Amino acid sequence: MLEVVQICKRFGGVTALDRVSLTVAEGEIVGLIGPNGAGKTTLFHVISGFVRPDGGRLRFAGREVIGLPPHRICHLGLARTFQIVQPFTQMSVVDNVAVGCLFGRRDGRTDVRQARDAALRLLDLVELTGVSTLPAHALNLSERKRLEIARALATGPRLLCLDEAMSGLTTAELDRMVHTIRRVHAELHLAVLMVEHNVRLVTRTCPRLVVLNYGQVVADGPTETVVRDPRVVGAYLGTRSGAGA
Amino acid sequence: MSVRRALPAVPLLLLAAGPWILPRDLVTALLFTFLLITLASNYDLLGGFLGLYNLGQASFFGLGAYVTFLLLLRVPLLAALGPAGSTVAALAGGAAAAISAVLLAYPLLRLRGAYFAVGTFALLLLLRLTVDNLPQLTGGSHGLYVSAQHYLSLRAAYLLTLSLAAASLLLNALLASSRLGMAMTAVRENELAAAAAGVDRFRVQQVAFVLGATPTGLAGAVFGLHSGYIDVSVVLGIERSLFPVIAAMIGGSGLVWGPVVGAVTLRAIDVALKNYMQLPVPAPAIYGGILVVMSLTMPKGILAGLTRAPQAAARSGSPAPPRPARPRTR
Repeated sequence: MLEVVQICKRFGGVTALDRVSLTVAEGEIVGLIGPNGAGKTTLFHVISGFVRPDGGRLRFAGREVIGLPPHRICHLGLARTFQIVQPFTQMSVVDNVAVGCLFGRRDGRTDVRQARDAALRLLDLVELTGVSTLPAHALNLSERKRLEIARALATGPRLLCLDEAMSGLTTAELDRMVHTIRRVHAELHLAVLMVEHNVRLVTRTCPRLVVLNYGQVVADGPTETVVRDPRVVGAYLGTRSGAGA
Repeated sequence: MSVRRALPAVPLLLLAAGPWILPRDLVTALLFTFLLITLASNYDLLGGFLGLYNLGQASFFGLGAYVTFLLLLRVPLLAALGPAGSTVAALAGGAAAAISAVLLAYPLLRLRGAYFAVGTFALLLLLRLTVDNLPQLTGGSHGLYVSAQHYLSLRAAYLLTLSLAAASLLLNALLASSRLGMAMTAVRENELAAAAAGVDRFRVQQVAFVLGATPTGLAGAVFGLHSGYIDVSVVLGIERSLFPVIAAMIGGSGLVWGPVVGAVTLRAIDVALKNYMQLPVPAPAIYGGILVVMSLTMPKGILAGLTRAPQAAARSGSPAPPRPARPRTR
């Protein structure tokens, strides 16, 4: 469903993405990991249309999507969250999500009241029902991360891209978040591509991992094999003979 | 419910009877207040909902007035039609404002924040220069006159400006609870997140720009036809552009009634200072002083100062006035 082929992106002299290729199939849940500065977030920006790559191809839902603005990519069914949460701070929590219901797809809802009802159902799914009438600026980080997910889901995606949905959470919140992501994946039948820092959590959640290091894919495959791959271990811990073994 | 909804119609009907019951100078004063209300709420459609500060609101006022006058002066058929001709010309003036807003959105909406404000102000200056330097077409600094058959009576102008002000308010009120209003608030709050949620940022801002320009253009046409004479300083004046901004901010930007409160306050101060007081210093100095004190004591506007805006806004579904994002609470 998502095909990333030989994507390159340079910022000045820094090569953030170096011929990155990966695919995500319908309904799959894939973890994207890598050390700081590996290019994970840049890849997300490219996939969602916020950053235009210097080279390569990008196909989603059977369409070439490079050059499409972010809202058009959203309409095709690709939703993303942000690592640094981006709520509409002065709007209520339910309206934050209702915006996604109203504008997330071409044939989206047109009635504000219906959109709010749909938004409430999604808030229930991510366990935010209790705070739906509060303004978004009143939420704590864990709730904001959930709000990001609900708003992304409101656009009716076939692929949900989560950018560090779990960073900065406490241990108890982490377990709830893993549970929520699994539940969303199961109930809404969508594919999930998640960037994550915490390797332990990602191995618990994702049957398949893609590892980025210095803008290159160093491993891609079933989680058990990838975590034992010497190049992956090297990327995280370093190797005696330098990175890449 | 329906009674509550109809309530604003009562003062509206009373106001509509104004020209028949009020003294002439008060009718004129109200007419100018309605004009300011129209421009201020049109300004606030962008300023309040989208956080885009348009310092060139008068551009559309001037465009509406000049297009109306030029049509009446250059198209013999319209001139021959008398009042019907004026109506057609005035509507064309409004359409001209709308069409230019559609087109101007392309360059102007590439700008953000202060750059947008400066860009719109530059547009006003550009229009002033253009009109001044095309005397064969626009009359230059001599201005333009239409023949007496096209004049709008005080009553007609009063009712038309009242309608425009009411329509502008209604537009803002409807937007506050509408789909488009939600998109506008989302774009104001966070462009990145709005785009990720499927909102077409440019289209939303462009529609708002046009909605905010059209009543202003019609107001320019009505104003011109009422006075019978227009020139750059009257319809494209700097203060014509800045007073709506001041009115919205003094009254309460982002609140439907904010521009009304602000416009009435401004006009009241203006009339009181100029007509009823023997001042030892020039009126603008006092005027400025009052505005400074008001903005210091009620930085979010009179209405927000009186009603504790965030709660009121949350209840009615209208957006709170724009302000910088708060730091995280926890």
